[in-house]
Amino acid sequence: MIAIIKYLQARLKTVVVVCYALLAVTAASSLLVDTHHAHSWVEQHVPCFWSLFGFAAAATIIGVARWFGRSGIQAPTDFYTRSQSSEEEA
Amino acid sequence: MDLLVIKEGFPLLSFLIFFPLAGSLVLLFFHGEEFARRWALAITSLTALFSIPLLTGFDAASTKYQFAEAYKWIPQFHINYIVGMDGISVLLVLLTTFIMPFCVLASWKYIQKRVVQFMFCLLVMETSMIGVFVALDFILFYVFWEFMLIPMYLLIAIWGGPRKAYASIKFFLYTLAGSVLLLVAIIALYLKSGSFFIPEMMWQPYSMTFQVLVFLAFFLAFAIKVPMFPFHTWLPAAHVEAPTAGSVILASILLKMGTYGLLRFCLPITPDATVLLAQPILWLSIAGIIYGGFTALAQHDMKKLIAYSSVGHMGFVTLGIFVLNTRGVEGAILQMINHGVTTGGLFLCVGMIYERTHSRELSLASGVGKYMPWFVTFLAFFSLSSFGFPGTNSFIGEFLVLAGTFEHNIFLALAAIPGAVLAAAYMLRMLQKIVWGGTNNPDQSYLKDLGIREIIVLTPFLLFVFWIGLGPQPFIDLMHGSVTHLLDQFQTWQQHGQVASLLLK
Amino acid sequence: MTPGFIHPSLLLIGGALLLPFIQGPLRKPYLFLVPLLALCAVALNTTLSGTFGLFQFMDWQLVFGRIDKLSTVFALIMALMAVIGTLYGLKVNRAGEHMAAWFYAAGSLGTIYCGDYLSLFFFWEMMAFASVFLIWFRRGPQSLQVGYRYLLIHTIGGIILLAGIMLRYQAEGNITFSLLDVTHPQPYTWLIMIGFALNAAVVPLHSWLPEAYSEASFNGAVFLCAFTTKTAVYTLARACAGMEILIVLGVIMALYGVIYAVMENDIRKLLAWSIVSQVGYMVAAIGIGTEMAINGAVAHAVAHILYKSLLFMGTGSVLYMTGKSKFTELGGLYAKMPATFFFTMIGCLSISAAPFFAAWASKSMIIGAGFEHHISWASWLLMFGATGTFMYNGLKLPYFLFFGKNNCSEETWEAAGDPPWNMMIAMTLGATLCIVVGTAPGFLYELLPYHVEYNPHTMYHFMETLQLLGFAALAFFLFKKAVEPVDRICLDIDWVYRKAGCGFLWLVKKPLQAIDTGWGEAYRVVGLSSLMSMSRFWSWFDWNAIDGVVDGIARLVRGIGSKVRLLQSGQIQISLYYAFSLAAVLLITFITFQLL
Repeated sequence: MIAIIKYLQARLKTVVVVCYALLAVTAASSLLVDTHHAHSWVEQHVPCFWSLFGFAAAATIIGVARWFGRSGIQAPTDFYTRSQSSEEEA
Repeated sequence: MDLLVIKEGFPLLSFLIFFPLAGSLVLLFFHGEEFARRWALAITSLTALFSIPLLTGFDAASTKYQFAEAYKWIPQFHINYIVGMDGISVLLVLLTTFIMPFCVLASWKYIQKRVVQFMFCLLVMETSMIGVFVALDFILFYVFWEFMLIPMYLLIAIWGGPRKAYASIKFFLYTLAGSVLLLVAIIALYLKSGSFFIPEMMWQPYSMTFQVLVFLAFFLAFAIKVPMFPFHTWLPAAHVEAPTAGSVILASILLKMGTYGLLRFCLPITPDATVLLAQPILWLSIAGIIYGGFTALAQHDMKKLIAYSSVGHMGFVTLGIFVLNTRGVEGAILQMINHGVTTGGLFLCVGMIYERTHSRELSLASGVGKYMPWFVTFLAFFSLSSFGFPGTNSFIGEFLVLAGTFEHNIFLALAAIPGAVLAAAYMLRMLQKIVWGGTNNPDQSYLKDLGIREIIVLTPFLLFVFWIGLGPQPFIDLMHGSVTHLLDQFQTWQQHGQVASLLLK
Repeated sequence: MTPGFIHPSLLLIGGALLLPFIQGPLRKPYLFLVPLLALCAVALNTTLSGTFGLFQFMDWQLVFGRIDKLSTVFALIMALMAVIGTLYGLKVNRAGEHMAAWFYAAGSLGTIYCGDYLSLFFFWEMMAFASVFLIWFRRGPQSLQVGYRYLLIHTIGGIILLAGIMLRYQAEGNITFSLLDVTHPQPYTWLIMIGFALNAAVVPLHSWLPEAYSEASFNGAVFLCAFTTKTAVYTLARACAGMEILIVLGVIMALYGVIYAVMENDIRKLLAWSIVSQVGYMVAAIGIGTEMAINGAVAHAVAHILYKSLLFMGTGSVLYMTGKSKFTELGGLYAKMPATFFFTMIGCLSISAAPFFAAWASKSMIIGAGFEHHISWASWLLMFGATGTFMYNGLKLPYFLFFGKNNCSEETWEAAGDPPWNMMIAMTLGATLCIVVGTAPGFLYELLPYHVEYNPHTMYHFMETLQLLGFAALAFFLFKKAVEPVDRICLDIDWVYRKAGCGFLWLVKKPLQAIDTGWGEAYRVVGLSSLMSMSRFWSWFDWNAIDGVVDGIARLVRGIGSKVRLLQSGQIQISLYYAFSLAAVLLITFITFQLL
């Protein structure tokens, strides 16, 4: 298996192109699927709905996470021990 | 004679009294040290074993003197050999017989010189101690009372510490001085009643002056023995200088002879005088409790500390006796047993430390807890018991005494409380110093913990500490009959007195 | 006990107590055997139905064996988990770790099988106290603290639960453990729900989970991830099905977990946040309360146990071999740990609900239930969250751990390798089950509480999933830089109580301590000194005053004696002289008196 991965890694450009092709195929085939059992209006009438949803959702999550982290939630690893030791010195 | 339940068949009490004496005579013919130790252990153990029937055959409901034996001794002077046991004395006899084997065991390594003579003294002492508690003829009682002076003197004078000469003579003369007046009082009573049989001398209508004089004579002798403040100063000296076995016998048994005498003789024989003089004696007991507490707190010699603690504890006993109600008297008798067990245990512990460090100084015994965990466990429990920690035997005794005192006079009870607090203070101080010490303890790493023999010696004491502490009912049941009988007779006497004074008006 | 019902917890507890005595070569077979026996017991119990193991305890009747479809399915998966987990940790030498794990499993099984609140509480606490040892046994620098926080929080949760139980008993008069009246909730309903919810790591009672599970030992985490939270899911399903607030809480949990997991640097903490997220799905489904929703929650719980334990086993292997668990210290490990990568990948695909892998059969059941019950907003948000799940768990985790930038130090790289045989077998088992559940969910659906009319293998479902996963992957690779792991910790609600704890400690250390010290000084100076002075005085008095009198008399007598001794001369004439003189004086005095 390692050999396969190394083989693929050596031909990274090709792999990327193949992946893009697969994505296009997926989006196209979605138009052919029977949407009768879909739950909502949106799913039934917007073409390639789930592709758009997937991309938008992922991008939003990445954006929100980055903003959230940057706004202070991500703190240095010694956050708690640092304030503890400064209190003990005090 | 109808007060006696004569023992048919095997004369158990006489056997118990004279068996150790016979054993001691055997020792006159043998010189081996090992033999002496083993023989003494065998004799004392057998005596203890043979005293068990006293317990099983004891009828707690009866108020007569049981296991009694009566023989003529010197008919011309109406002196007879009469012995008997009731609820008050049964526990004391058992205490004596059971403690003796452990005294022998404790002296196994401690006594190295003149071992044969030491064991001889121990056995003779056992004879006289048992005799004191069961004698029902006054001369017999007196003989046994005086009989143990010489062996005790020898015990301190030969095998004692650095100031043994001073301590032994002080003990001897002090006690003898008290006993002399006792003899005078006995003879006076004989002249009044015509015989030396003790129960016949009880509850007789003697005149007040006579009663007071006899009471004072008794009181002096017994108060010195108890010891009550301020007649106590022989005790620290004697305890400190005596060998371990001597201290244990002194604390556990000899002191009880004094309180036994107060209970057995003062109240029934001179009831009016007792009532008259009870108040001062009660306050004297309180003084003893508090005084003992303070002086113990200031000591840095372990044995002296425990000696002064005995003064305090016996203060509680006399307090309980002279409040003259059931709780107080029962508490006092129970406390006698408790003190015997606990202080005996404490002296044994101190003896074990002394064998190792060869000093009685607290500072030299500091911080042994790390190296002698078994030892400090025993010491801790005995210390807790000494200041009446709940769950231990002394709690029951002190509680009963305080309850009785409370019934009698609230102020008296309140005055006794500081004594209990002081007891906790000095005991815990001693415990803290011995077990943990401070920052500059001497190097105790050479100390070896308790051996099997020492654990065997201490365990029964600990057992009784908890047995009496957690389940005192059987012990109280044994004495209840006799105590209520005594107090009932006292009530009747008081009523007669009141009726008489009403009639005379 | 009624014959036929064997309580597996008894087997586990008995096995745990005997374990220290089994040494040497017998230990490994024994370790494998005991949970296997428990599993067999559970399997046997599936044939039964009803209440068993009834005990009368004072006023209450305790029910130790309430068997129905809901409890059976949970018991089966938990017992299976015990087998896999013990197998995974077979090489751990310390008996204590295995004992803790088995007690933990026993507590969980006991909770699942119980039919009354009293035995529930007993097993609930057993779980808490046993599981804390799995954290402490890691013996890392933080383990003690983390374990204590975990224990404190769980104890508080237990107390809240107990309060609810007692209030309910007062109100209703019985301790039967069954569906609460969720349409008219009383204070005790809320309290019981909160008690269960804390164990289920419902936001905002969740922050114990990430730090505890990432701090656990490598095999302890495998147990931890399955038992506490899913047992709580069971209890919520039993007692709080249909409680509407749970829908809201579940959705919040699902999204909250996603955001934090995307930010996270520690691989096992990421998985812990993933637990919060996935349990959110189950909680939301329980809140919806329809038959399909409950089925979905249960199925998802089973699937989740399978793939989450597989993921923890994979990352646990990385931790076991390299000693490291942060992205910033790992990376590029596919070359050295190919089998681990393979199994972890299966786990990642399972959690992402990729076609024919575990959650494929369960997650959509929950989403579908939401749409059918016309709670569409919840279902949309959950789908949104599902995308995120794929992102952090299906893409970020494998990419940055096994590919990506190689941040390994020399020794990390050297140490990396595939783990020992027992761990590999355990992972194989887990992976196999994940694929089986995803491909042929029939036998799982048989076990579900209600009749299942759902079929995941539809073309629509397949295409929906492929689109979702494919384009999310596209977004991930385009914005890869934004999710690059950084060596940071993420602050969470635990900040509040950790700061409060520090504040409380300051209060005790400074003001209260000062007062106490002052009082102690006063006592020492005034009280003790005066007491000791008095004692010394009385001791002096004893020796000098009383003994002064006594010894004084003795000295006096000796003095007189020594003086009188001088009168003894030893010569008989002098003695005779004195004697006759004395006699004469007496005689004369006597005669004089007689005459007068």
